[in-house]
Order: sequence, then C-alpha cells, then structure tokens
Amino acid sequence: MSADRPWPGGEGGALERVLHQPPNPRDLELFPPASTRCATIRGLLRDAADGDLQRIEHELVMEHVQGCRSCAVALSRAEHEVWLLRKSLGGKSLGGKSLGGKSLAGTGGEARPSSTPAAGFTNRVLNRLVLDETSILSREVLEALRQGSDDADPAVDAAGPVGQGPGGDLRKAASSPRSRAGLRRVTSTGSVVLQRERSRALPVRSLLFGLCASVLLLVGILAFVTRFGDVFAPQSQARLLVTAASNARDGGGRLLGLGQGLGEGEPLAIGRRGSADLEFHDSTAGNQPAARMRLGGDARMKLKDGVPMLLGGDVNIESRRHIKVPLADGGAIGLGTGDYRLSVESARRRHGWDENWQDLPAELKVSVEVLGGQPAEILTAGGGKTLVAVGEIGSYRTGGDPIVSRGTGSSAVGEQATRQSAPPPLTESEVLLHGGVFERSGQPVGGANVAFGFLRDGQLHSTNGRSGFDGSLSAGLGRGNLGNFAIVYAEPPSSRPDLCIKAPSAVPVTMAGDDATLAHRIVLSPSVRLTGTLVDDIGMGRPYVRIQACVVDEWLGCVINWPGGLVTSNLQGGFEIAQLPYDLPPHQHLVLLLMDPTLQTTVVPVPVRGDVAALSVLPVIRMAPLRTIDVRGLLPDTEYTVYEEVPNLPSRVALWQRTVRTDLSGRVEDTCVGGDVLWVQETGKSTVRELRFSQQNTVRVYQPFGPIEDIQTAFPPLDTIPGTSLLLASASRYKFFDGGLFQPSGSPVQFVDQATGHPVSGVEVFTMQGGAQGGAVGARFAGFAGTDANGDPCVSTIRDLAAGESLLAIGADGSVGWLPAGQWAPNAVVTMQSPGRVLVDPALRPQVGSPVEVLTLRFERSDITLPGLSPVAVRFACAANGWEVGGLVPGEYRVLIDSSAYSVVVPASGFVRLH
Amino acid sequence: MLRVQAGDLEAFAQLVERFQNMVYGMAMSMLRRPEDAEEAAQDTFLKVYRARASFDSSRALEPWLLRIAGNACRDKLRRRRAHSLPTVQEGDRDLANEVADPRLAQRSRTAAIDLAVRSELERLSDRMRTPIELKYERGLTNQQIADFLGISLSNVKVQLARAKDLLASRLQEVLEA
Repeated sequence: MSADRPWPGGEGGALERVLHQPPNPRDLELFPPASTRCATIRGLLRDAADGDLQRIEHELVMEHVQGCRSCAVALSRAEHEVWLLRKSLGGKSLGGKSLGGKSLAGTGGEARPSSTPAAGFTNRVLNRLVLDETSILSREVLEALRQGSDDADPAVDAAGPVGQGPGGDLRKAASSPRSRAGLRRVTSTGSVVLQRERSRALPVRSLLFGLCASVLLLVGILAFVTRFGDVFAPQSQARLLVTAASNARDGGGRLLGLGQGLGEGEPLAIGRRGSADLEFHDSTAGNQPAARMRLGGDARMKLKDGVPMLLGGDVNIESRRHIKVPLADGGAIGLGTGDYRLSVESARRRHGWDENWQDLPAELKVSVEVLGGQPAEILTAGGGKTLVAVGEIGSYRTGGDPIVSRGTGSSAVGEQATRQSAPPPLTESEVLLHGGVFERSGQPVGGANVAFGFLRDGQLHSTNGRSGFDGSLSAGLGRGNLGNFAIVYAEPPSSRPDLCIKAPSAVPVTMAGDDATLAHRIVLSPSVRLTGTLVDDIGMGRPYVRIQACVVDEWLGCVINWPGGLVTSNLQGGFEIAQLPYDLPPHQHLVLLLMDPTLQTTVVPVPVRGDVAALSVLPVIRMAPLRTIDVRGLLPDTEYTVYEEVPNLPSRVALWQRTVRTDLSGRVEDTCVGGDVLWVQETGKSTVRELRFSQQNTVRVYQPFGPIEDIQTAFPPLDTIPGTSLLLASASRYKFFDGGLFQPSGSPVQFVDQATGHPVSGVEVFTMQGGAQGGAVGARFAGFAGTDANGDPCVSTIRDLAAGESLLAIGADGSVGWLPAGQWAPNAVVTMQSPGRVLVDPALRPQVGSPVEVLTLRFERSDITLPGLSPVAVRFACAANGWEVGGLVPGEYRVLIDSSAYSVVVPASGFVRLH
Repeated sequence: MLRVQAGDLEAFAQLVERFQNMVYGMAMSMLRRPEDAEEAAQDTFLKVYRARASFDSSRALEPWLLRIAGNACRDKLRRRRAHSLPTVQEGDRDLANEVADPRLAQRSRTAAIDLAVRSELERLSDRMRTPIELKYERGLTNQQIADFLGISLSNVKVQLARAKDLLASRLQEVLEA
C-alpha cells in the first residue's frame, strides 16, 4: 500500500462533514477495511462511482485505490452497481456524469418514450387554468360560450379526458380561434397579453400576415380597452357545479357527472328515479358556494340571470346568503341563510325534455318550506309578498294568494331535517318553569326556541318552550321531586341571525309552590363572524379544508361541536364562520379544528369576541404535512384501522381514522399519519391497542404496546364530522347527570372560599368516576351546592361517596375545588380556590413591529391530584389586556408559548409574572 | 419567469413546454400511473402560475419548480393512499415470474439481468425506488432529487444507498448465477 496524502482537516475530519452514501455492508464483510484511511475511503466509493465527489475528494480516492486492492475491488463493485442501474433503467451510461448543474428542461422524456406526457399537455394545462381562473375570462369569451362555440378547435380536447362535457365546452370555447382573441388579460402595466397560438405549422407568409394582423389588433384592443376598460374588466360568473348525480342530464340529453358544471341558460333535468347534488356558485365575491342543492327525481333547473331557476320538481336548498329563486310564472322565492325545501309543479306539465326549458309564463303550484334559518319570502307575479317562518310551509297557485301552514319537517329528497319540535301542551297539575330570553342590552328576544333538561325523581327529562314578544317563556316540568337546576340550550329566532345560540349551561331553579323560576335570565349574545386563511406547508392556499368550530371544556375534558360551525375553505384557502359564541363560561375556550386528509389535523385556539384579545380576521394558519412512519408487529396481510388522536385536544375525544393493510411480514411501510398518539383496531374486531413510537435507525417505527382495550370503554361515543374521517365525542359537561348525590338524609359537606373561609353558594358539583388509569373521566353533573330551593345559602347534604368516586366543584366566578377519591368523610370541606392572573414578562412579548399581535398561552396543570384530570387552559395575551391573562385556578403550570416552555405557580386571587 | 409573473400566458405556455417532460417524468417515477402523473404535472404548473407572485426572481426557477412538483406528487400519493388499500400490481408479478422462468436461460444474460433489476426495483418501496429512478433514469443530481422529494441531501444519499443494498441482496442470486 502506498503512502496516502494527508487528509484535509485531519483523518476523518473536514470531508466527513458532508454525508456520503454509506458503503454496502456486505462489501465491508467481504473486503474489510485494512486501515482508518480505508474505512474513510469506503464511505466515498459510492459517491465516487456516481461522480458526486468534489475534485479533491475524487483525487484522494483514486490515489488510495491504486495502492489498496480491497478498496479497488470495492470501487469496482460500486461502479458495477451504478452501471447496472443505469443500463437497466435506460439512463445515462457509466461514463457520462449525471446531469449535475445542467438544466433539466426536456430531459425527462429522453430515457423512455412513455415518460413524456400525451400530446397537447400545454393546452390542457392552459385550459384548466382558464377553467379555474374564471376571472381571466372576458365577456367576449363568455359571449362565445353562449353562442355555442361552433368554431371550437376539436383537436384541443381530443388528447385527454379533461375537457369533456359542459366543462369541456368551456375549454373548447376558450381555445377556439374566435374566442382566443377574447382570452386576454390586462397586465398591471396596461399592456395586453394573449394566450399562445396552438399551431406552429403555419406557412411563413401566414405567420407574417398573422403577426401584422396581431399587432394591428393589439393596437386596436389597447385603444378600445383604454376607452372601454370597464367593459373588459374580469368578472366572476354564476355556475352550477355537479357534486353527485344519478340519472341527471343536460339540455342535450347527455348524462352529467361529478365535477361538471352548467352555465347561464344551460338546463339540467333529473330522471324519474334520479337525483343530483349541486353547488351554486354566484357571481359575487363572497365565499362559495352560495348554496348547496339536492334535486329530486323529475326536477328541472337552469341558471337564469345568474340565479338558479326551478322549473319543476323538488329541491332542498342549503342557502348561505340571500338568493331570489325565479319561477316560470314570473314569481320568485326569496331565501335567506338557512335550509329550505322548494317544490314546483306545473299545472299543465308537458312531457319531453325540450319543452320544459321554456320559461314562458306558466301555471304553477309552488310551495316553500323553511326547515331552519331565516324566513323565506313568496313574491308573486302580482307583486304580493308573503313571509314564511321556520317550521312553516308557504304555498300558492299561479294567480292565487299564498297560504302559510305548519310544516311537515320532512325532507323533500330523503334527508331528515333537524328542527325544533313544538312545545308539549301543559297540564293543569304540573309545575311551570318561568324564565326570560333577553339580549345583552336587556331588550327582550321573542321567538327564541329554548330546550330545558331537568331532573325529576332522579331521572333526566326534557322539554322546550318559545319566548313570547316580551321575552318571557314558560314550560311544564311535570310533577314530582324536581332538581334545583335546569340545563338550558337556546336558539335565537330565525329572524335574528345577529344573535348566536347559547351553549348548554346550568341555571339554578328556585321553587315557589307550583312555580319554578330560572335564577338567571337567558342572555343571547351577538353572533360573531370570523374569517381566516389556511395555507399548507409551502405556503399555498389550501382549498376544501373542513373547519369545525368547537368549544373545549378545560377542566372536564369534553368538546362541544359548535352548531353551524362547520365550513369549507375556498379555492384560495379562505374561510368564514358565522354565529360563533360571543363569550363562554369560565374554563372553556374556542378552537377551530382544521381537517384535511393529506395534512395534519390542526387545532387553533381563537379568542372569542368578548375577549379583548379578539380578532375578526385571524393570522394566516399554516397546516403541517403528515408524517411518514412504519408500523410493525401486526398480523400479516390484515386490514387495520389506525386512529390518530388529534393533538392539543383533550385525550381520546377526537380521532382521525385511516385504513391500512399489512404486508406478509405484518408491517405497514411508509404510511402517513398526523397525530402523535396512535391506536390500532383490527377490522371486524371491537378492541383497540395503542401504538408506541420507537426510533430504529432513521425509520420511525410504531408497534402495539400496552393492554388490549375494548373500543367502547377506551373512547367515549364518537360521531363523524361530515365530509371528513374525523370522529369527535361532542358533549357538554352537562351530558350526564347524577340525580342522587344530594340527599336530605346524607352527610353535610361545605364549600368554602379559600381566602375568606366563608361558605360559597351556587357551586356546580360533579361526581367523577374512573380515569385512574388515564382513561376518560366519567363526569356527572349533580346540581348546585350551597343553595337551597329558595336560592338561599345552605349546607348541602350528600350521600356517601363510593370507592374511587370524587367530587369536582366549579363556582360561578371560575373558582374550582375538589375532593379526591378516598378523602370523603362526613362534614367534609371543599375549598374553592379563586382564579389568579399571570402577567407576561416584556421579554416574552412580541417585538415592536412584529406581525404577531396576540400571544397564545397554553397552561398545562402539573400538580393536579384528581385522577384522570389534566386540565389545560388556553389564554390570550395582547397589548389591549396589558399582557395579563386571568381565570387560572391556583397551582403549578407548565406554560407553552409557541414551542417554548416556562413554569409558573399561579397564586389564588393574585397575579404572578411569567418569565 | 418575469413575464409569467406579469401574468403573460404566452410566457407561461413556454414555461410549460420547457419543463413539461421533466415534471411529468418525475411524477411518473413517483406515481407510476400515467393519469396520476398527468394530473400531478398539471397541478404543478397551475400552482406555479398561481404562486408566481411569491417567486423570488433573483433565485433559480428549477429548485422552486421541483419543490412544487414534489409537493404535488406527494399530495397525489397521499390522496391515493387515503382512498385505496395497498395492492400488488399485476405487472409486478408477471415480471417476477418471468425472471424465474427457466426459459429465461435461453435469453441473453444481459437481458435477464436487466429484467431482474427492473423487477426488483418495482418491489422496492416508493421511498427507496423514487430516488434511484430519478438519479439513474432521469439523470437528476442529488440536490435536485432532494428539492423534488422535499428531503435533505443526506437523506437522499442514505435512501440511495439503502436501495442499492436491498437491490444487491435480492439480485445476488441472479447476478452470481
């Protein structure tokens, strides 16, 4: 072996900073390195064979192998390896270095002819661009579309499946010679650019002529645009988009399918046993779609003047803004935001496709039912206007007066609509519950629907009522031993979309003979609208992400799926959620749950409007990509469901599910998951097992670990969020009751304030079982303690607690106290700790000029002694609240700001600086 | 690219023409289905057009384009995985059987080896196979592969080496015969 040159930076030094391809371990066994230099060289041989070494490295390797037989053999094996791969794959020969530093354009297809896209790829891209970016369509193009684009170039769309059907007509029209001239876009500098010409095989003379003509045309267009620029301004167009269809045809009798669209005047007809789901995209700048529709059998519809015109049949409409649906008899139905069922029947209906498209004045039988939301308006051709409220049906015959009657509540095309049932009739002997519904300003709210849950003889019962014009309401509770509370859930009337619903809350009830009265008014807060934008990991706006608003209970670990809080992001990733809560009870916070099958499910806490840190427009939300892992230790060739717990939500309440299949080794390689905590369930089995993480070299491996649990006990009852694979256990803290805790013959227990030692009244008491092994806590609401039936302070008496049973008490001011399992004794005292505050140190606040205006602080309780509870509070600090957050139960916390962790001990009724 | 950033569709069309083979070929390497590769390639160019304003014209276009193409392909792959169970492609089995066919002895040794390499390559996981194909079939540099796959340069080299090790062990019998 010849003497080697000194290695730059010392042996194993500078050059090892760059990771090279590791050597083949079998080669190392067959030809072991004889020295340290050999070992270093072996690590470079594969890169040397690939030609990926720096010049100095390459020289050192070549010098070494000339004097070292084993390394020379190893190099030749590495070179043979590369030669074999390049030869088999039809790529570059061994002698030719890879295309490093050379432009890649056009190289992709050289190796194999099949590696090039089918002819017309550029056209297909441009056509998709034209279809997606409707804003670059000028009126001229649209005019060409209306005229049927007779001169469309048939070769353009012949190359692929894209471009068929009505959508394809649009693309054809956009690429036709006539409309190509109209496919223009005015740049910021005022110049006009045209879409590229498709054919380059024209004679030179024709090209020159075309060039001259184009220049003249450009000059003309420039002059025209300068004068009539507004006419050519880009504008959105209304469109009906098919999302699902069965036996649905367009005006030409062609079957329609998913993704196909219908423009102005293009008719749609559903066969006798068919149906179609449509999205209506209007021409406004608002969030799209403006409405979703489901057409039943025999329905016919078309767009007229940019709005859907129902020519016949039944349609369910979920409308997101005001829409006036025109009718063939000259009348119209005005819809607001809500769910509606429309039915149009022609009194002189004719058979056949074409005749029904004529929107000549006809004699119709029309009905509209308001299933939920704002009232509808019947606007007759004679100028009459009739309001139809929620739960009512308005109907008329052409020429007659509209009649409003009570609705059926059933859906026209098979979907069961949810609506408030009518209050049950009162009986003479039952107890009446009285209350009132008011705005925050004190103004009464009439027409609000209120549902009550209450205990009677230890059993849960429910009833409902509707507030009168003065806001008052009453409901019958029956007769028996009534509890001292009512769980109240209230919805504003459909005519008041400015108010939001009231989430389930417990209200003390005082008794006076046969009358029960709610201790507090039911206050409906203003509804809140929130907008935001989602981007993926590379900063691109993410469309079609489902966004669900949820309320998280910080102490009891439950999540409420906020009614009406599910929306989908638009093409730019923007979204808007309406009717969010204005404020929340203590120890609850609002989050947005962002769901996309190809990105990690993300939980974003947002301040409610009543918080001074409130935002009406959220900062841009970035969603992280999925992680790639291997799963091992499962049965071979078996289908499994993998459940991913959603991070930053209480344990086990939200699971994203994916189906995987193991290979013959019981592995699933390179599968993508989102959450950190994973569970696996074999298909067909009712048991689950947790998957635990273990790093094996560079591979992230998950394997089954821990006990096999029954899925019914491992997770609370879960429901799917529509349109996603997410299972969510939506429940309020009042979902389950313990009607037997407070017993007159029981032992006294006192709830006292920690600071003053005085008894506290109006405390919500929960009994809790389970959770000792980390499972979900079974919390049951038992009622209010410290208050008697007249609302006066008193000493409560409760039954003996069972083994493993504990008490949790939450005061109206946010104070919290608990009695751990095993500490129960007669005359027990539960100390209520008043919440404290935390001041964020200036060093932790955003720098002046930073785009971050609001800090999100996540407080994870670290010293709680109640089994199964791991409270996590989320608070928002900003300049408006002096960088001070409150409502924190005294104790030790780990505080997370972004990814930085701090610790703090929150004192009772005081404040502490976080630094 | 400056013209594309100004919204010039003519320039955008030229850009598509120039890079379509590269993007489609890379998408084919990763997705293996012409229809998916076509869609991913189209998505790539649409994303390029929509994100043109965010492109830093002082930087090279290729890494940016490769990254977008890689993300589009991974998106497509995830959606495909999310909606279908892993299956063994019929083509794989045919190829594997063909290698084991005794009649193969009648063919030239070179052709047999080529066939065996391609067959074993198809059996590799996507994560291992794709860098190999991009490097030795498409001729990409390691840095370009890293940009396209959204992984580090070191990771590319590790994947290449692992794939070669696996191929070598599986091909041992064929090569040493």
